[in-house]
Amino acid sequence: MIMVRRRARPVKEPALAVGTSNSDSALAMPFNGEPISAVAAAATNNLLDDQYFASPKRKDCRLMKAHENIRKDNGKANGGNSTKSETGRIIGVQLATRSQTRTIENFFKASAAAKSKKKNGALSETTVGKETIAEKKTITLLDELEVDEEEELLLYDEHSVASPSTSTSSPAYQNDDLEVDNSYDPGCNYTPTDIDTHIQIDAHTQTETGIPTDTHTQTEQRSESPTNTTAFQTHRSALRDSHSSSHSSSSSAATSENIFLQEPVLTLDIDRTPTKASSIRINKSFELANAVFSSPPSVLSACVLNGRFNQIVTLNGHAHGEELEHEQEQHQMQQPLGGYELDQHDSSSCDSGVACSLTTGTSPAVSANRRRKPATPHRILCPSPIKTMPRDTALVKGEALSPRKSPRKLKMQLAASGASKSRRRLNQPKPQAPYQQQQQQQHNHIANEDVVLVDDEDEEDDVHALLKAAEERENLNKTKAMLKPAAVTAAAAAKPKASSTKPAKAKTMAAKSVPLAATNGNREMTEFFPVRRSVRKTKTAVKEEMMRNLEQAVLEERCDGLQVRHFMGKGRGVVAIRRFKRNEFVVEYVGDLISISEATERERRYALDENAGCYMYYFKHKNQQYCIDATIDTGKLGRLINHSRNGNLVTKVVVIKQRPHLVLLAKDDIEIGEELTYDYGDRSKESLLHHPWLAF
Amino acid sequence: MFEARLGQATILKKILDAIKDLLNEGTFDCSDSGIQLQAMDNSHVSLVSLTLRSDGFDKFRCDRNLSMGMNLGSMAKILKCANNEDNVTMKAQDNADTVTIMFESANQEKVSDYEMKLMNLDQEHLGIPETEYSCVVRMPAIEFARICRDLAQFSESVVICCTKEGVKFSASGDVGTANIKLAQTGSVDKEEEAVIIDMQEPVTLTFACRYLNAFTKATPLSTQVQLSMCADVPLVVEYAIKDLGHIRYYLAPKIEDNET
Repeated sequence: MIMVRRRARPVKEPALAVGTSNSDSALAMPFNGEPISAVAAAATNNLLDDQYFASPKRKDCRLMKAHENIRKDNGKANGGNSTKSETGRIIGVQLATRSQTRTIENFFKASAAAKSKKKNGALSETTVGKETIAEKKTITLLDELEVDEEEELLLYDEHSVASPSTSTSSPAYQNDDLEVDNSYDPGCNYTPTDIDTHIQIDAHTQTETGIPTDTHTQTEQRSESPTNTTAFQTHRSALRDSHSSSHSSSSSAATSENIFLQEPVLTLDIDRTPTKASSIRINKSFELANAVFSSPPSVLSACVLNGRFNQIVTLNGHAHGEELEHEQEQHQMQQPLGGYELDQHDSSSCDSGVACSLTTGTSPAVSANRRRKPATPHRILCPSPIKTMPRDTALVKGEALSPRKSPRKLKMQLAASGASKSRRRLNQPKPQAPYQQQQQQQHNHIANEDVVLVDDEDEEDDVHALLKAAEERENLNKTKAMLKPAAVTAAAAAKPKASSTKPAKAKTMAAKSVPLAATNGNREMTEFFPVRRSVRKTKTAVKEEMMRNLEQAVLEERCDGLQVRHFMGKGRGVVAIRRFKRNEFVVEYVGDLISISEATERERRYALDENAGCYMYYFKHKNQQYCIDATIDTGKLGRLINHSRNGNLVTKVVVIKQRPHLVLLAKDDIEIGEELTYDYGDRSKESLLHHPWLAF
Repeated sequence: MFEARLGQATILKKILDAIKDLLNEGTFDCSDSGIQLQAMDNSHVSLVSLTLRSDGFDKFRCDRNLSMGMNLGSMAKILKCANNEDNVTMKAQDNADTVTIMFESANQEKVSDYEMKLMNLDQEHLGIPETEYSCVVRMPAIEFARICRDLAQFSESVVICCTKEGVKFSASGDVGTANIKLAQTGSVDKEEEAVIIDMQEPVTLTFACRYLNAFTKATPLSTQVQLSMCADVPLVVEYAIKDLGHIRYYLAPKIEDNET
């Protein structure tokens, strides 16, 4: 939501913010008689102020400031004290308790401002002055908040960024160098230049990033925007992919040539086996999108673009903490592609697209004489094209999305779990006792808990580790006088392994046990009372569990609770003889996993046999098109499940031992006696012609 | 919305004084039933468990369960700003990142407002099992404080030995040894001054003095302190807060070996 707004008014916003906040600080200098002329003077000083005055929206604000200034001037004439409290009231309504200090602030600021005017931004201000300006700025920002409702959201961001500077909890008012300026430490330096950068960063935040991540330098923040957009793009492309997977593709001579143009796809794609199919698929869909096959050059260029795009997508999937340049590059590359992408999206979501792709898919020879019976009666496409059933769309989409997303997610998950693990390890009783017994015990303990450690067997290493750890610890504990040296070494000796393998961990451990560190000989609370952990599982954990279950089910070829039954007009079908819960594994679609070329080959063969049914299940996984051929009757039940557009099963691709499997899951709770059906996904005209039941 | 009002700031002051030496920060878990705080000290040797029942407050409202991570040092500083007789009101919005502490003077003439930032603390919560303690000693809180202070001069650790006759605190160090024996008071004239021992089995445990001394910071809260001991189980030092709840300190025993 915020992003959209930002886009809508990209230029004005930062200008406003910069203008106002700057000129506020300028206005706050009561050194002139005529307030507006003072403002003008300040404005000439600062280029950005021009923008402030240029914007008519700021009139009210300016008036208020002018008014305030007049008061201030009056106050100066009168002799200070009384009016200062007045201005305090005007500026910081919320901070009523500070009104006392504010008077002094104002005073200092006046002098500071005068000084800085003389010295042209000299750094010789008193610290109080610096603080004042900073505070002023945030306060005015607050004012803006109230004044401009339209900008509320954006300014809120700004406010939240600015707020840490109000706190001044750990004041470290050093003189600044520019590098330090950019950081948003609570105790950052409040000098004029500093404030400027503050504001600039605010501005950047407004225009570019949705989330003002606190300790970013300006450049980083700039780079943030590409990341955001790329992330967005990735998402979309993922969506698109899930859609366009319904395009069955095949290897035609013309398109396979394009692979050469797409070499980067192959090299950069980190997914396990990027093959022709993936790239071809995109080209196909692209052609469809344009619906013009006339000009080969355009198609070619499109391919190039597509290739690039593909590259981006795959890169995005993995490049999380990649360098700035990369991201920017991607960003640039993506921009010209926006239109195409959209087109693809559209084409892939409609039924006609599928039909088209089918015809193109079945080799030129077939498409030449369309009237003929299609190679196979119909196919099963995963995921099925949607449009007709909006409710199921989401489901299918989600399903299709998950395998694509999974590699990245898993990585993050791993990292997260790793982090949590290390945290957990921290909770383990820390062997700090110098006593031999205790040590022994702790060793065992740690070993049990699977912490990475060098065992006692390799004692040489051990000694090294010991020394190293002791050194480390001593460094860390230098400040902690509480620990006796002996205790330090003892403690270090007690937990050398962990710290040697994971120094960072040791650091945190040491940091944790600071003040009452004289635990020598004392046991820890955690030995007696278990740390309570929530039994609630995270979403990822649940997902993982589910995946494990599926895997197990596939491996043991589970097919319980199912029964083959004959149906009038349909032939064989499968009914449930027990209840299935939603998302429960029902059966696997077992067959030969074959490549597309093999599939076309087989289709041609099956086409000759009138009795051969349709058991070719086409699906796409990780950008690669696969087919499971279950034409041969193996007695497995997965192949016997009939079609229904509103079936009670959904298909899901599960990778087991690097081989994709198709499993059928219950879409909803299934009662006993219900026939199991799922959507074959074939909406092509030919298929419908020959198999009218596909329409139901 | 969370709002809790206490008639006297002094109680809250004392509570903060009682925990702020052990804990740098803690999470106040506010629920319908009251406020709870449970946290271990940094070395994980002791544990503080504070319970303030909602009915002990003048006014208590907690719409949604709320966890307020606070820097206890800052909190104590804020409470220093209150007069003992002031009314204290703690307020926080749901999902707020600040808590407001308001002091009102008895005659309502002075109202001071303090807003403190909350912290997101990643502290683990320990499940404390119900335990049957073999020895439960009730004694004057001041007496206990005194004993701990005195014995700390002799040794880092104090041995508490509880038998039928009484409870013996002893410490031995370079200076020498110190023994303090308390016998169960025969006739209970004043309940506050009574030493009552409820013993199933004799127990001898060793504890670190410095923690015991930290616990005795809670002495102003209560006239009596209750020590519950059981072999190989943390000592429980409980101070009741009148009409409001209690504060319990758990201290893991030292490893007993021949040296001590």
